[in-house]
Amino acid sequence: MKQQELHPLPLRIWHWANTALILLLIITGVRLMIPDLHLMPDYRSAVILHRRVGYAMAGSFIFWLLYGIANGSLRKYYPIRSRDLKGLFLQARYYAFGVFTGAANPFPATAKEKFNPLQKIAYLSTMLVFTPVIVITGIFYSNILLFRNIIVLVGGLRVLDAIHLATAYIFADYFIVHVYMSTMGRNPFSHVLEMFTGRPDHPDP
Amino acid sequence: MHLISPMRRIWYGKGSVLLLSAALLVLFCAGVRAAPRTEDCLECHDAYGKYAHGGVACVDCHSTITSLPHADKLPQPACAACHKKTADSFSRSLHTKRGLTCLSCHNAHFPQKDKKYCASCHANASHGTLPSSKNHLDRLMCIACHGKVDRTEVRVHLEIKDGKRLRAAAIDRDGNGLIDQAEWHALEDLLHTEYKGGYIMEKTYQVRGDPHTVTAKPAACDACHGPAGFFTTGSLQITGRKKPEIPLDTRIFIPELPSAKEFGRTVHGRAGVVCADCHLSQRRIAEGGSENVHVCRKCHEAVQDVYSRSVHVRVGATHCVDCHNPHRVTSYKELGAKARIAVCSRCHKDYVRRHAWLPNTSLHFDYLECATCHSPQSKKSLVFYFVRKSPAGKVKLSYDELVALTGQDPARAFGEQQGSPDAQIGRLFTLLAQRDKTVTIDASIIVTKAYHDYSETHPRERECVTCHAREAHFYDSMLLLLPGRNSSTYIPVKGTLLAKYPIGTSVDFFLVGEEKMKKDDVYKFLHLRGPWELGLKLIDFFGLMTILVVLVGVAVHVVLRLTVRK
Repeated sequence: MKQQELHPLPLRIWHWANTALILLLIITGVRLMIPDLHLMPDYRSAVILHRRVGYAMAGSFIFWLLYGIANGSLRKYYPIRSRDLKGLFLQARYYAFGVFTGAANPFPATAKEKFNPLQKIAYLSTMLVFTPVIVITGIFYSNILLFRNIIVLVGGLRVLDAIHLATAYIFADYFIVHVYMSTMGRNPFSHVLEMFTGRPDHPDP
Repeated sequence: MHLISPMRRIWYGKGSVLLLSAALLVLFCAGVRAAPRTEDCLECHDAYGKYAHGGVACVDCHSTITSLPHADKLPQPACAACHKKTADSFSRSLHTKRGLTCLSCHNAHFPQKDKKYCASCHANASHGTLPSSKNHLDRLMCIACHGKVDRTEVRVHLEIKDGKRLRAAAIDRDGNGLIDQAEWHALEDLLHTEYKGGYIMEKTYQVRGDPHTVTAKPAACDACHGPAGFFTTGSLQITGRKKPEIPLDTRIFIPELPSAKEFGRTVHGRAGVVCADCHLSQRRIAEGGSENVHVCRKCHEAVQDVYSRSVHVRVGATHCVDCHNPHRVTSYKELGAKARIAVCSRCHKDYVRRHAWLPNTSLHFDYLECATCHSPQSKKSLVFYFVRKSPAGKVKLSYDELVALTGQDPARAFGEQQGSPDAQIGRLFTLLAQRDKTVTIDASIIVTKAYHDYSETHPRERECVTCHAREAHFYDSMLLLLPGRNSSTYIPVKGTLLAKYPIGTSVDFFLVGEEKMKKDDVYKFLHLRGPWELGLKLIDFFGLMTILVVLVGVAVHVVLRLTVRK
């Protein structure tokens, strides 16, 4: 029997596009902040790219939000329910111990419940808190004169810079963990494959 | 006693006045014979049948005619009877002294016919001694120099074809409601590149004045080219824009030129340089000539040695005067960042376009000059100055304004006052804050000792963290600029309370105290060398720590998965 599609095509395209944007933002951001690392040869290109990719990230976020609202996935998969609190512990225990002993994943992704409680927390905070924060602070930075009054309200440019930077570190951490977690499937590449095919790499329960 | 009511008394009074007036009118008409009517005159003078002089009758001008036929010889009509103001002006004119009358230029019966203009008599006025005579004669009316001028204005009209629109930010970048020289240069570049062939620009030098007062001496050059003469107002009008007129700085088109009167106030004048020290011949210095090549070198040898090797000389800007106006009243060191950019942007008009990559381009150009980044060997300083905040932006306080506020010469008072620099700065701030709440401090990063070879480039100057860092070079030299009557004084303020002025926390100026973790900080941390103040570097510290912890955690997890998994 053909398995039900977990990740619809638009979401898969968005996922990989967003991956590319975040990667580019990290590379260009590091180039701007630590020029001595010479991650990119041309500094000017890094500045332009960071700005343009930042705007693209804003577009990408808006797409994700509207798509999630329109097809109901935001309401279906993301809300944290009371039973998730127990699940949180189970999932953490699985990553800390079970994964080494070959125990089964307590929350395999299904069309009904796509994310485990840890994923819900990670994705919700990243998409609804950290992405808007980093995008909005970046936009404020792109035209200081235009957003002058808001920046003063926030506490000035140094505070804005601090928020943008702290969120960027969170993104870097998230990126490492997310990539590593993608190797936790049946084999190290099965989750990655899922994001291409859209179908789970395990039989439906 | 017969009583009359007050109202009735008034009525009787008015009635008697009316009756008396009517009686006088009847007596007057009976005594004066009627003057000839225009139709009567035209019976003989039919050539004037269609005369047009504002509907006046013949006898209004030929007032001596009381009956027909009139005398053979009539006196000149009295133009002044109607045109009193003009006649007054004309009586003071050079033309009157030379025996001209109204009729020398005007046809009294047909004012629009045979109208004479200046060139009707002065067709071949040579203007041989007038510099750039073609420019002047093409653009100006005669009265601008030879008449009594009431109002002058430079008007630039711009029409973009095909309904295209110019962004407001591209015209008045700093939003202060005035197009300055640097902004004009950038606009020219924008029109040339993005609207090439798609726009029409027309410049007019409008003069309103009285052509009847022709002066014996023409206006001197400094009437227009001096600091406060004609053409001090100008505007740019763009067809189709909601806000049709934007004021512009007319010095864009009318350069400030030397005058003997002003020369004593210039840098060279104050240093005792006389005209003949530089002007060795009648030839303009910028035009070259063997006598002019080394004029500046006589005093500025070291500078010219450096400059002669620079890229500017190679591309043809061979002479110092190509950039520097030796007759300028304001010395280069007193020019703010914007005025300095205006010097470079005369040739480098595309400076805004070329810096499109730079975030917040306009903001950078408000506070930096070109050489801040493009002259690695020049010494740059963080220069503080007093400004007055207004809705149109911030305006630097002049010497006179500071004297009016503090009641004394600020620079002199600074030196004479007792106490530490902190105490002196504090007193000055308190005094200014008490007198005017809109006065505040602003700062620019400008060159205070120039190295004239701008061909050297340093890629590091492009990197944000070169300037946006506590270690930035200009923090070594922090100065307070106090304008003087003739020249300004720079007072070192590094290490004073001004260096820690709270503007660092606002958007107005945010470079002070910008903190990012550097390699040295890591070494300090690893070797546990102190003192090590974290401040905002905490973000970098914790950020890098979390990445390290996550990476180590992942590595441990991988190892465990590979080794423990059954």
